[in-house]
Amino acid sequence: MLGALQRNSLLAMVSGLLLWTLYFLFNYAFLSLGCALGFAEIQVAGLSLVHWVILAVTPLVLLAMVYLAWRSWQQYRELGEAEAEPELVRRQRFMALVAVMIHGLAVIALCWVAAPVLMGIPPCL
Amino acid sequence: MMGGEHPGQGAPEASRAEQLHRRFEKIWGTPPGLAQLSVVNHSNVSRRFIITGFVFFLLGGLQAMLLRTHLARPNNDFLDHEVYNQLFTMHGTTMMFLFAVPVLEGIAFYLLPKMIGSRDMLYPRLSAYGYWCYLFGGILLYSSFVVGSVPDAGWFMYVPLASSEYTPGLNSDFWLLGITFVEISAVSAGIELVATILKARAPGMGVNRMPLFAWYMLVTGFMIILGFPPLILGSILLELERAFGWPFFMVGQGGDPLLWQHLFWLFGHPEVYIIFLPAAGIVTMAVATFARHPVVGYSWVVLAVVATGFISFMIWVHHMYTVGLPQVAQGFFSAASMGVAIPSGIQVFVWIATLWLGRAQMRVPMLFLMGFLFIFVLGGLTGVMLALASFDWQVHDTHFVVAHLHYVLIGGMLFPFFAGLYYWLPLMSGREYSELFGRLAFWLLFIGFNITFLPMHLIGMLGMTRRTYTYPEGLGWEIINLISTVGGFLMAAGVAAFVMDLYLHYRFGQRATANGWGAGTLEWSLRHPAPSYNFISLPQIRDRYPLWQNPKLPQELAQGQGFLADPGRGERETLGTSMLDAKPEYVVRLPRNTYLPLLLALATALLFVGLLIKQYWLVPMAAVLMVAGVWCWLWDRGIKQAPLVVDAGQGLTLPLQYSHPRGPGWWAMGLSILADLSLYGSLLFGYLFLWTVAPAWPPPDFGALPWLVPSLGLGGLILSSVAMGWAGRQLRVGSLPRLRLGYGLAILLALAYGVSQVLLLRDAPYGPQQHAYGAILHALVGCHLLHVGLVVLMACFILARSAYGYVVSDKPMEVTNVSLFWHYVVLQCLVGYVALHLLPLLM
Amino acid sequence: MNRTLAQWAGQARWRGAWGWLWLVALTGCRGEQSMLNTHSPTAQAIEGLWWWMFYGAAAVLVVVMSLAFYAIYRQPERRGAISATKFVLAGGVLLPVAALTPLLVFGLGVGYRAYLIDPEALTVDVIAHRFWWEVRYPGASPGDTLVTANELRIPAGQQVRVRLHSEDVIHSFWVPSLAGKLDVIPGRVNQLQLQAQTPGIFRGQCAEFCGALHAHMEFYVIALEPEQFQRWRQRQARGGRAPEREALKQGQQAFMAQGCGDCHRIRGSEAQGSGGPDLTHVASRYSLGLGRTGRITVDDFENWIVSKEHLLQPQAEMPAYDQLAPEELRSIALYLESLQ
Repeated sequence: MLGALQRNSLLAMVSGLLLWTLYFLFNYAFLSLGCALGFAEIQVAGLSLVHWVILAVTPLVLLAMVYLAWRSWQQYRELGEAEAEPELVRRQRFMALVAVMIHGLAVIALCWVAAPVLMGIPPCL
Repeated sequence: MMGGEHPGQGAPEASRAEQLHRRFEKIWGTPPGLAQLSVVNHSNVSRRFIITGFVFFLLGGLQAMLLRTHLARPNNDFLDHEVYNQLFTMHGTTMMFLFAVPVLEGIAFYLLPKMIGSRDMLYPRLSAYGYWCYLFGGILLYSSFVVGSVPDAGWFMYVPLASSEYTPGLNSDFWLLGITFVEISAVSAGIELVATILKARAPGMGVNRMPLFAWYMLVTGFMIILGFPPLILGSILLELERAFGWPFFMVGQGGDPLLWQHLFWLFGHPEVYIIFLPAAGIVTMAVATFARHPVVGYSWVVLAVVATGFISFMIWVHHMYTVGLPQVAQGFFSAASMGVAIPSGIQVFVWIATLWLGRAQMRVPMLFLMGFLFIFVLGGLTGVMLALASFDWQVHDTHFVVAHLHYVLIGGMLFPFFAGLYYWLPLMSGREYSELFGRLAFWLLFIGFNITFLPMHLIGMLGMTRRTYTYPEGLGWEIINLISTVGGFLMAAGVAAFVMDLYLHYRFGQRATANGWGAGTLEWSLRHPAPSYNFISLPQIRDRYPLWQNPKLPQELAQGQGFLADPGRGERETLGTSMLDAKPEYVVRLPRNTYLPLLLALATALLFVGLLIKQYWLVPMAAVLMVAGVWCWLWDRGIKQAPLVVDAGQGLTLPLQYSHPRGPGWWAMGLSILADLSLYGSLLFGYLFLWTVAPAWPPPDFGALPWLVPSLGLGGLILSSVAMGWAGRQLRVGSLPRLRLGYGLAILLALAYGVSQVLLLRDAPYGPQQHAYGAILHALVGCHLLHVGLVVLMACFILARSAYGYVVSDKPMEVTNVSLFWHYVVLQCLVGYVALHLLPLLM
Repeated sequence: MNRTLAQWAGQARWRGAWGWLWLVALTGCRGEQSMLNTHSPTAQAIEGLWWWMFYGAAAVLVVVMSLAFYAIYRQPERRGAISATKFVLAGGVLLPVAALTPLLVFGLGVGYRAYLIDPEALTVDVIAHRFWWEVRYPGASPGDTLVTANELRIPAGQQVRVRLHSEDVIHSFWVPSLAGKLDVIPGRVNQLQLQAQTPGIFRGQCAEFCGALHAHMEFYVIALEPEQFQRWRQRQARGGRAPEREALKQGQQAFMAQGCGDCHRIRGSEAQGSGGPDLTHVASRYSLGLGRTGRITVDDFENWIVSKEHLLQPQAEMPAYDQLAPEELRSIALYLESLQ
């Protein structure tokens, strides 16, 4: 069903970047609240609580994006063998391909956004 | 040859084409004289956007020349500080709000229907209303010169400088009200762009086949819908603060100046991509034509455009790196701001690859495209530098940024704008321009621009800050300022050469041959100049470049071998098709000329003027006039007499849009809700931001709101949603009395909710002027009340319509739309309740 | 003919790029307020970042324009073949990722180090006004604060923490030779660290538009040898002495009679105003508005008092001190010049 969505729904096609947007907003809001309300000062094993949470969330979102990309790529391959309704198939294949590219770019953007946390920069400096 | 060129054809076909052309002109054309004020079709309205925008460009350019003349020497007395501050504020405001966005809207409105195979945009009256709002808003803003209270706090109007304590006069109010007025036209354009691109494409033009410009404008449309409301909200809040003392941004009473910055830049960053994307779309279309090769990497471009749309919303804080935010937060934004460079890079390499695989012809548009490439890439590279927070700490608010922004805006918008004008001029006016003047204009502009702005990077790094009306000697800034001024005059000469070329081409230009460029996209199939109805018949699309795939297409369409070739019904019609594959779904009846948009805009102007001059009794009066105007607007003639199905040509029979549950009206409603969501979301953000970050929060008695009456009111409102849903189902089984009952019940429950909210405000612990908490509370509740009032009015409209037999089960569109908005309003009030009553309990 | 013209034009673009480098060399980067005139670890780190980015960006621009020219002007039969997908992937994705990832990491590191503030550092409070800077040093004992204006003297070779306050609009504290800028926002206290490696005089300026005289809101950071700094601090902490010479006494009386004391404070005298800069040791300052730096003379004081910049200070409610009688003006200026 996810596959069908990604070739027939513009929203699903851009879902990788939508996920990235939510991830970004979560990081920024959580960090800002942590510094404003003080819970960013809570340290666990030398690292701020805020960092731990972000470090936990990041691979989950990354995995979701990779999964989306993989499913779209599968769709793209399967549609390549379809014989009926060439016009429809071409359009669906196009959307599957664009979806793969979008999810791929979202992965790159996610890694960059995670950089300050990965580098261990203190949260409220 | 007859007026307007047609691809060569024999006599009998020519006369059939001529006959059809005359019949369509009768339906779509406009008589001369005063009736010009009633025009709604996209070709006319878009030309007005372009011409008015260009006039503002000249005004903004004049302001720039005055600034540059003054800055040529240190400690100059050509201008005084007051005038200088007004001029730089108006220069930025004019260029950003009154030139860049409207002019590109105009180009998009002109081209899109022609490119996607439609006769018009989907909401012609809305386009016209948008134009008048733009014109009147611009006039309102410029009337500040007449009164001597010109805005002078910078185009981004930071508080506290722009607030009433430090700008006591009307200056800031002119800006806030004038610009909000203009923004109505932007948001309505955004809604129209998305709906038209998704629903009005020619049959067969699936999303994988539509011209790339349509993809650019689709993303831009969404960006406008989501990106403008934060500024609209910010402007409303600041005006409330200035006029009534609601302290959203005043530190002493729980406000925070940073809230303004967030709201402004949440708009401000997407704004520059709203400006860049249409221009990049022009480049993409023109490159294909001038390289005589299809754009390579169609999917890459779609990726780049969509990615730009998303990422550009998440980088606004890079305008605020020096505000004192945590390093990690600045790091997030540095990362994302670098990320947005990737889609731009993708587009650059797509363009180069297209040229590489093609055979470029260096005509004037191509010159401007090459100029664009150099200037925009350079500007993009300094942009990547600025993306890094640590570097930005040195060059923020210096002339380095001024240089950067002019490189990306002039390079990324103005040069493509000129390229597009020169490219599409034969289509727009039917005449050729002068190569000589065109080249002269290009070289003067290109050389002048680089002389003005390239050295400016250096004085920024030498320490010259922005918005300083003068500078001392001895810091190394004198020579470069002088050089920049000289460059500025060269640029002005370039603009003059362009204006000359435009004038000469209208007076003396040769008649243009049809599709002289040999381009492949649909707009070139029309006669030159393009007629008001665009296509005599609409094509079936089988390729991304229909004219390259079938060079005979123009003749075939002109002789009526496509859809909707029969003007016999005497109506303005185009096709509504499915979103992804463009399968024909219904025929859209479009409105003919009407004065309503102008009248409604005049009523709107009255409202804004009333707010400006603080004669608040004018406001409800104007509101009543506006409601009356919208009422007439929606009371569409003919829906009762409209046939259920029509013959769309080529063996196709289709219903009209009224019978379709998801017609253009539904899309307009849905997209408006999206804009409203953005506005409400920004207000919620303001509340949460002030609560957590502003000094002097939480105030005593925070969250101690009366709960019984508001909870009852909300409960009733939720029930009203149920009533509405039930009423909608009654329509389907054709039971009008039950529908009216459901509506009546819903209206009563909504009114009860309204009363409960008024009581809430009466009993709240803070008035709106005492503390920012009181102000936000009143703003949120006021927002709910406005929405409830609006939706009750809509429901009354439906009741009135049902009394006249307009509400029938096989034309469900109106009832569906009102239900949609009703449920949205209930949802909004529910979320507001949670935020105001429940969230504080958690803390 | 078109071809040659365009080829020449293409070369002109190259010339443009070289021309700018030459201009850089010519003007030099040694301006008094230049971010490339670095005197602190932070400023040097940012300068390093700049040069890496500059050469990288120049290289990218050259590559992109060369490719574009090649794509247009090389005869189609003789052009190399490219795979569109690989070309776009390489240039549009791989190149940016390869170039920007290290830049991001490096840049984040520079930012992080700039904000490591030594908790033991000398802390100075700077309060931004429209349109001057109030500088307050912690006193030896509580309640004993040294207050000066428009200049910040610091000991060289050690970190100094600057706390930024505003009671009116948003300003921005920027001394390029030593650090990036930091905004001064009402309701917040932002903190910056400055560390001048060697003694020197560094010019700074308000960098956030704050109204009419924003352009004139400059200040100086003066780094002294640590012992010199201590001596300066002790001298400044002393209140003013009552004037002994007759001319100066008259000057002081005129100063009070004209209401100057309502805005200006001179410790040890009756002038205890608070709307404007503290003038206790005004004549020992390095600068006095209007770009006057170095040894400040009586003429400088006169010119300043009647200048429109002085008149436009928003707190001024007193009438026309631009219409003082010349003798009175002279005598006030003499008095002020005595306040070393």
